[in-house]
Amino acid sequence: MSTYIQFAAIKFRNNMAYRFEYIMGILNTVLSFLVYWCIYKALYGGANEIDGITFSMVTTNFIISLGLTNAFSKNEMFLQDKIKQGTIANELLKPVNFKFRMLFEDLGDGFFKVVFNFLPAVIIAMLFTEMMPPAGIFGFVLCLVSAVLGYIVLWYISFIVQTLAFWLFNVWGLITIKNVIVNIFSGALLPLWFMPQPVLNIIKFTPFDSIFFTPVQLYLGQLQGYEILLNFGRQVLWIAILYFIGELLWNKGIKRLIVQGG
Amino acid sequence: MIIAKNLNKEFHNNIKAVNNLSFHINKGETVGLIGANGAGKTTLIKLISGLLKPDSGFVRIFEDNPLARKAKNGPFMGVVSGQRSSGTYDNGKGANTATLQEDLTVELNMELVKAIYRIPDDRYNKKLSKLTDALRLNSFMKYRVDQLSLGQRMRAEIAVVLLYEPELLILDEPFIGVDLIAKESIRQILQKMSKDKNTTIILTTHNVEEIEKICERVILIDKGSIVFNGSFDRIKYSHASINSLSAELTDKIPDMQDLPVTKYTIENKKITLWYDSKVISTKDLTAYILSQCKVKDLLIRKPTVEEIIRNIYEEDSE
Repeated sequence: MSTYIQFAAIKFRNNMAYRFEYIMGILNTVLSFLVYWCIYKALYGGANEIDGITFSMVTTNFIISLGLTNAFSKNEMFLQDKIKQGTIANELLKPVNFKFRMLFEDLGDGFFKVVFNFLPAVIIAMLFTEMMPPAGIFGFVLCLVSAVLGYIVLWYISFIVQTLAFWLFNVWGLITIKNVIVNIFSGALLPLWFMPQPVLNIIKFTPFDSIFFTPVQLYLGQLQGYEILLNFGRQVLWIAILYFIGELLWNKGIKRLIVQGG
Repeated sequence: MIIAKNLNKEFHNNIKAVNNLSFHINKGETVGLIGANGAGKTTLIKLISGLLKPDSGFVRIFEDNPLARKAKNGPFMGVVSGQRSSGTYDNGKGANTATLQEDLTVELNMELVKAIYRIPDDRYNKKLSKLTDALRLNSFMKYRVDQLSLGQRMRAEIAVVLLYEPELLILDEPFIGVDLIAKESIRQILQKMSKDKNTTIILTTHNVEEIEKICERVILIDKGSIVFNGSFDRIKYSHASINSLSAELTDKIPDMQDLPVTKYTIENKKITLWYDSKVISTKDLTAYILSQCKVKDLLIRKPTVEEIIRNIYEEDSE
């Protein structure tokens, strides 16, 4: 385990070496907040709430979702490059689990970006927007924990699409489609409160709302008692299901790779 | 330690890249692989390292299949490739290995290797400072790998592999873009590793001189088959009676049709004859040439290893 923590730490420190990049990252996130803030400001047209959803709730939703989307963005062509170049076999020769190494390295990256990109951007956003403070310290801690779980859900969705590179010539198109689906169904673009009931019923059976929407709800203190457990349970369940699918595709892909050669 | 038996590998275009190849490499041996472009060197390296699966035949390393070996959890194989990506996909960034991670600094790449192979702190620090000095890594230690020049990159890549001291070291064209000073220090490190740690080294290059300095044994391959497999001394010994005679002439070219020479070339007014002194003595040949034409200059010498190897290839293709 400590080996994998070291992988995360190495990635974290690598980011430290490139300070200019993370200042630009904060700027990028703040700018996207500003664009959304302007759009929603116009949509609300001065009204305080629509369908019982206040402007500050909406603002809080997109700041957390978009902020985490930016912080969690990564190179999704990673696996395809390794597969197409044949260097994946070299990785398999190393005495560590390649998938976990990939996950922990991305966690190191993600953690860095949450601390040095997301949090500063949120603090800046709090000054010029109507973003709400967290519903108590307990809610904030729960929000952070579920954000980590949400990241792992997002990571495995990406991993599954990436493993398709074993069969497809180029997965770039699929990754783009996947990103659009995640953006819509996770509530990052349009808060799930505004989604029509039939769509919500479908989303309930997908992993997408457990990526950003669960942390948002915890932040706002909208979940109580057993609902909190239920939502955490859904996140963990989705991680387990996605892990299983990822593992299946990975093992099939590796077999195919070994049969065909690099 | 490495056994390859009846290896065959054919690519989609029906070219037999490796054709019924068998050899044996003992632990601690240093072997040079020589072959022209497209002779099958890189394919063979990929078969040995487990990057490719043979169509038939097998490779065993320490009695294992290359990929199965990994489970035994140790720094057993290191592969450095100076070749640009030769797969179906080329991102133009160069070396086609997984030894370095593009987006990490050189320093953190070293630490990554330390973490992967669980190298203890004291050994890591000692080893790192040694390699940093020998390969002059200091000037670019804090740079990201994708910012390095080709030569710097090769040095970093070699340093990373030497850091974890694999039992088997495979170097495919490792000297591309590496300057003379670094080349010399790499050579010294390799010789020391082979002597002290009994590391098995397989090295490919076009440059015979480089191989001759590092390797005891040489395997020549051509069109996927072995044409020679033995020590450098054996190459020299087996061709010890081969000589070359060059003569610069002033007028006509002599009739060489009936001479028992292995081959001859004529270039303007200069002829070069390769002959076996057991078949025709140097004295007789010289006397014949001198009697046939006016000679301005005459030179008789032993061929270099490179020339011997070129001859072996030519004999093979005849």
